[in-house]
Amino acid sequence: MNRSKSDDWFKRAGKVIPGGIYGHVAPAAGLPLSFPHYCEEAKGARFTDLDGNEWIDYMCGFGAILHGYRNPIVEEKVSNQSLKGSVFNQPSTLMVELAEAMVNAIDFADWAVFAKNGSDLTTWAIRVAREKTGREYIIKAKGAYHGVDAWCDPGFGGRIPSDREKILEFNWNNLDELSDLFNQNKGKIAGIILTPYHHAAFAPSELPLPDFWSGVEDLCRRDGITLILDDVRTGGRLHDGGSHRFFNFTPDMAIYSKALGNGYAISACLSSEEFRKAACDVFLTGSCWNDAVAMAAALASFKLSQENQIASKVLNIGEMFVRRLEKLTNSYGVELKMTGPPSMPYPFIEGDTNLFKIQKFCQFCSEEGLYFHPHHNWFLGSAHSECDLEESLKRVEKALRRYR
Amino acid sequence: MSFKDAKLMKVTSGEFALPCLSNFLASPFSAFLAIKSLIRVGQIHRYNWNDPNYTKVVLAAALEATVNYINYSPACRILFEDYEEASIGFSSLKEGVFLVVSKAESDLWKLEHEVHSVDSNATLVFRSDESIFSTAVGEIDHMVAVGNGEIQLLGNIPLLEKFGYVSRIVRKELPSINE
Repeated sequence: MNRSKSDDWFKRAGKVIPGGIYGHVAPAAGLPLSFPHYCEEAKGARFTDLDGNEWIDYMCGFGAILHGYRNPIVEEKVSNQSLKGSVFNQPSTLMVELAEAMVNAIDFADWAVFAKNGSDLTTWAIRVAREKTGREYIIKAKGAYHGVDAWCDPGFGGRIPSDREKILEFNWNNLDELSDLFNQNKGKIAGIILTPYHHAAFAPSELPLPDFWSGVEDLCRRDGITLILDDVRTGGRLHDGGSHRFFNFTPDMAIYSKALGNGYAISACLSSEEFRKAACDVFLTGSCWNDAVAMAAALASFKLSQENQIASKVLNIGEMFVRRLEKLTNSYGVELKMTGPPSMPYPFIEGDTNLFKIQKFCQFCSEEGLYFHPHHNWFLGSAHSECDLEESLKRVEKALRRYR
Repeated sequence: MSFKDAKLMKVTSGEFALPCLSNFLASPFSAFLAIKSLIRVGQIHRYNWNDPNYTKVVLAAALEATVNYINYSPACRILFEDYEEASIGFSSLKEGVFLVVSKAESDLWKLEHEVHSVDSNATLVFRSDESIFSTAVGEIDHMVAVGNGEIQLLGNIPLLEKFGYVSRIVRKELPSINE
């Protein structure tokens, strides 16, 4: 697969951008060399890279695209708002409409605030929990990703010991360990922040055990601890009313981003009346956070999800795809197991704890134009058509013939 | 052979410095042998390390330094506390794995020059001798190098990321032969 233009641009980038490309999409994060560095355009469930190679995409902008790239309904609203402007001195009324739509659809919520990225609001939410409870400590699951701020980022540099002094960790699904943390720190814990299920990178996804969420809820209610749901990655792909409903529990606060704007930068934090005053006392703003274009996109995208039960649809598409993919790979002696919910499956090959096999498998698939990530959960979207899935499976089979 | 701190620093930067005379007088023959060894070390130090034949020696020195930081620097050791057993292979496209950094249970991390097995948890693959050399002396942009294929990361990438981070701390804190 030709990658010459992509390589040329990467060379230019390396001179003026540290690392050329940084963050989770950096080549150093582990995508095999056959993956492109730059994208030219995208439509539906496919994109074309800078060298003109067409890909069937299973990352959906790392989750930011739920209704397909350039969804016509979302794009029409975006175009209309763009003609009026995006950032003004004041917010547009779209902010009110979006807050109303989300509060109506998300059962525990009485209010919403907006920002640009998940990190903006996961960090703000733990501060609100501290303000509300007057306590300092925050608990998170080991290996969970909650953003780029120093209290939780997965990197190593630029931190001082105090950044994490008040952050405690437990192993996902281990209620005994969590209970011990609660008991050892009685009266000190402001909140616990968790994703709906454990979707750490470089490891198979772990669903909550049957009594996990009820156990977490009980412990939080017992000690007056704020339960914060980080629904940034999962929001919109498990349940249209928030992922807590998929797993049947009620958080105090929840943060959404990624799929919310279908590719336009926006994040939201929702919570109940009980947290309103604390929310007012924790300062929140950003240069372009009132961006009316992103809010128009989010409103259109959110309505699309509500009116068409998109989460169920994407779960069904995913279920069909991952089961057939497993069957196909198994028939070639590759014990691929797709872990986690089928709308965001994480690929794992039995016994491949060091990931060499999955890296090779994804590399071979990439040479057939399939964007399968070896270390991150994939994302399905409502634009994945039967034709896309069938063609993908055919391409997988071609890759498997060479993989053996 | 013993030096005062300031004089030892002079010696390490290639300058001449007198050792402590008391030791010299107490055991002149041993001191003579030590001087001889030191001169040899100095000659090696001044060698043209850009010669591809010596790139692996330079890399081994860099890896040894990194391994020592992992074993003895508390800030670095904590990054590896979850690994009871692990190994990283260093290989080139030309000849496969030629060095391994590993840790066995309850042992310290160590660099192995004789590679008996290539079943590492992770492998760092160098495209060329130049890539090995520039990595060893810390001149490589580790992120760009992965993007342009100068180095490839295979297997347990988080383990490689941690090792790479410690190697950059080493690079900041210790002098390099290129300085």
